[in-house]
Amino acid sequence: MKGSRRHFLIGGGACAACLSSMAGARVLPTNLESLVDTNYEPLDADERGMWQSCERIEEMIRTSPQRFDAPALHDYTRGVVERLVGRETPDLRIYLMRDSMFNASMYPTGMMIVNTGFMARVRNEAQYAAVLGHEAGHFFRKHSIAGYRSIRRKSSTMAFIGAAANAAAGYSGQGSWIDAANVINQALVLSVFQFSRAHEAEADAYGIQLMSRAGYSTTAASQVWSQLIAERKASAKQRGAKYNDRSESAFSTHPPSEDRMQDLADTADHLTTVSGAASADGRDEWLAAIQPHRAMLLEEQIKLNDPGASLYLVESLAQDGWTGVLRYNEGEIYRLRNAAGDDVKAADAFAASTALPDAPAEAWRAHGFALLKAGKTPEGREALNQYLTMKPDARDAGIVRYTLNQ
Amino acid sequence: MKARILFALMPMFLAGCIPTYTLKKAGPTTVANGAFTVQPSSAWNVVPKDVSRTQWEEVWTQNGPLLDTVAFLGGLPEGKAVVVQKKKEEQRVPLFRANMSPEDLASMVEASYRIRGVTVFNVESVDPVEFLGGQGIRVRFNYAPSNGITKKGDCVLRVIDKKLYVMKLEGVSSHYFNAVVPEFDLLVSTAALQK
Repeated sequence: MKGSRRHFLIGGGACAACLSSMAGARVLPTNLESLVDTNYEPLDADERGMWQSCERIEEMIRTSPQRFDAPALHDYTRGVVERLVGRETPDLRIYLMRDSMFNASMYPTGMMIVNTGFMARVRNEAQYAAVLGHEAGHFFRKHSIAGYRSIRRKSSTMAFIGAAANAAAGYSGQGSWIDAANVINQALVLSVFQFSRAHEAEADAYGIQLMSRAGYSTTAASQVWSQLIAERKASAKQRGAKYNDRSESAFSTHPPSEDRMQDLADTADHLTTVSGAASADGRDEWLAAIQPHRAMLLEEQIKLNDPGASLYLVESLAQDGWTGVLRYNEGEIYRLRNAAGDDVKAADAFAASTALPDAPAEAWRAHGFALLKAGKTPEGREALNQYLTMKPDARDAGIVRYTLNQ
Repeated sequence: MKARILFALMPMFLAGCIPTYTLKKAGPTTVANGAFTVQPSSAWNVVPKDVSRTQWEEVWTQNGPLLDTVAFLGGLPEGKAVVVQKKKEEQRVPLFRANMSPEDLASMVEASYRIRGVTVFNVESVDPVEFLGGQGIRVRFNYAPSNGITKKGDCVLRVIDKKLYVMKLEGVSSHYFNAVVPEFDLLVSTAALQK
């Protein structure tokens, strides 16, 4: 299975309740009430069947080596969700997953998945809340079961759906939970994409309403999409490719991202005018929560070697000031791209990183090898020695010591 | 009647078109289009060529490619990638350059997994290694594919005359990887450039 950031606009979550899907109509701040309380149980055979399939997927997720073990960030995420819904959420189980794709998804059983690829791109708590609120909307409005019933009524799709449900329910481990989830998701989406579009619109409306009530800046919802569009355009430009929204397919549940971004912005303006209440983007809270993980989140993106997207991400984060970690990652982007002149750009970025107080040890290693390549042997050796001083047990210490002994 | 016979013979015809595994017996043998020789101590299955692999690569397995593989890459020239990829692909493995540092070569191995959707990838060690009569690098790593079955890898690389030579063992962590390590070490130690 090839992972591609391009696919964030195609879909790929679960039970037709995926962040990647989008609304087909103008988003309105409707007064939607939750259809699920903390003691909710499936009501009929349809819903029980759906729950069983999703519980099998959850089993796989619970033991997956991709689980992101970050208890403080997990609690922070739950705190944001609880602030949004205005109550404690023992009925929700949140799983942070190490997956570089921009995505988050919600299952009807109350399982929420949040990818590191989404966290890497978020700039403040309000943006985080915008996506979590959208996902919560799917759960509290019971979209999955409604979608499931809709397709159950279509006899021509019954065999396919049955196979999909069986695939998930009887899953033996040869494929992945993502594959199982996608089987269900595609079955639903392919059959009822118009139906899903309505749900996406409703989830958008529900999410933005929750944000407004919780005192979050509602413009954050459209910002998420504008950042994504800008990133994808930067990626396409870098590759000499045409930007493709990939949302105009007949099989897509979503309209063009730019339409959705505009809808969300209009809705935010409307809510701000109506409520008149002060709102916050929670930037400081977000930065405090994400800071311990920033280097790992950036590494996951930069090592995908999508230089246009990665440069956009690093330069966007650097608007608040360049740090040693950001300069190191900038250098890594050029080092991996390795086009004409990139060796100089990478070397400059590594040198700039090592001049900053928070430079990671790896910046000294990269600086050292860049200097050696440029023929500056004494300086290169000095930098590599500094790397070993900072990280004597580095996993690549063997080859670095060997290089120094040459 | 004629149609029925043709229909009955069709599976045999199609079976003939499907690439099949071949057996590589123990003893000295050439690999990767004759780029270098190795001396396995046991028999191996040669995995049929497919479009996902470059022309410089050959793959062997003992228990099936899902469980263990040994790949040989012989003489990849500058400007080419270790995997098949499109020019405008969003995520690409860095192209091979003869002046790559050990860090660059290790990154190249890592990128070949990351672009396939692997997010959890850990380099265990990068060390010097004797390979093809000179000093190369050895990257040991593990990774978690989305199916939850973690794998381990051991990759040796060396640049000779501006061309890249690679041998890579990969196997399921729980058993198969460790079971093949001794044979892989033998293959690495017996590898020799074709005269």
